[in-house]
Amino acid sequence: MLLRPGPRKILLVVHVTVSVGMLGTVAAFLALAIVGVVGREPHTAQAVYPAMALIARLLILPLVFASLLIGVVQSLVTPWGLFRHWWVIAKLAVNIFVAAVLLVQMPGIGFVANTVASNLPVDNMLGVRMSFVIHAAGGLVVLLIPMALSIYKPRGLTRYGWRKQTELASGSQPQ
Amino acid sequence: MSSPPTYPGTPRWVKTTGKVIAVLAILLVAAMILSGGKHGPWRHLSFEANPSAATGSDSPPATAGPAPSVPTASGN
Repeated sequence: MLLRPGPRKILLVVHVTVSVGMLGTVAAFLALAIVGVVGREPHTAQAVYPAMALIARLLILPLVFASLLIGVVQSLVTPWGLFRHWWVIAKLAVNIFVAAVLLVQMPGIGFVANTVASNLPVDNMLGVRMSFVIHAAGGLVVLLIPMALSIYKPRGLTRYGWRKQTELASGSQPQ
Repeated sequence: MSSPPTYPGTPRWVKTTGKVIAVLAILLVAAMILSGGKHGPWRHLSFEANPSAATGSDSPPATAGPAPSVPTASGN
């Protein structure tokens, strides 16, 4: 079922808003992660890690899955399809990869936040705190890929997409 | 009657990206094997969350796992 252009635009606005919001929250998480590693004030960790846990749980996690879900819905109700164009598949793969890495990282973020909330030191957890910086920075770079793909939409049909296109014998490219 | 057009093949950018991802995946697997077969935040906690180092006690260090307990070290 294909949506009419009006509702499609609304869906696009929601998808862009959620995806850009996700980039912003990951950037905020990265800034706090860096402060958590380099900060020398005694109470820096107690302020930073609970805030990071909140950002991850209440913003990044919902936004990642919302972006994934809206993207899939959007592809299914527009002529682009989910498996017809390579760039759509690439975006889907990147989003699934990001969601998986985030789910792996979530327990560690909660663990460090709980540790500082219990007034316990995190000085001996430099590795895991550095891991937050590395994964957030990597995540930020990786999230730029779907954004660039959405804008450039590199050409290339999958075999399935090619078959569908020839079946429809439609020469017009979807907007 | 003309035959339907044949599939032009996978685009070059997809093939190149696939190769880059394959190389990165191999490097990641190699790094995981060299680091003891673990990856993720718990890898760091397995050897860093050592309460005995902070308290001076002889109790064994906290072990890594999917749901580790909060370290028993005191102070800040």
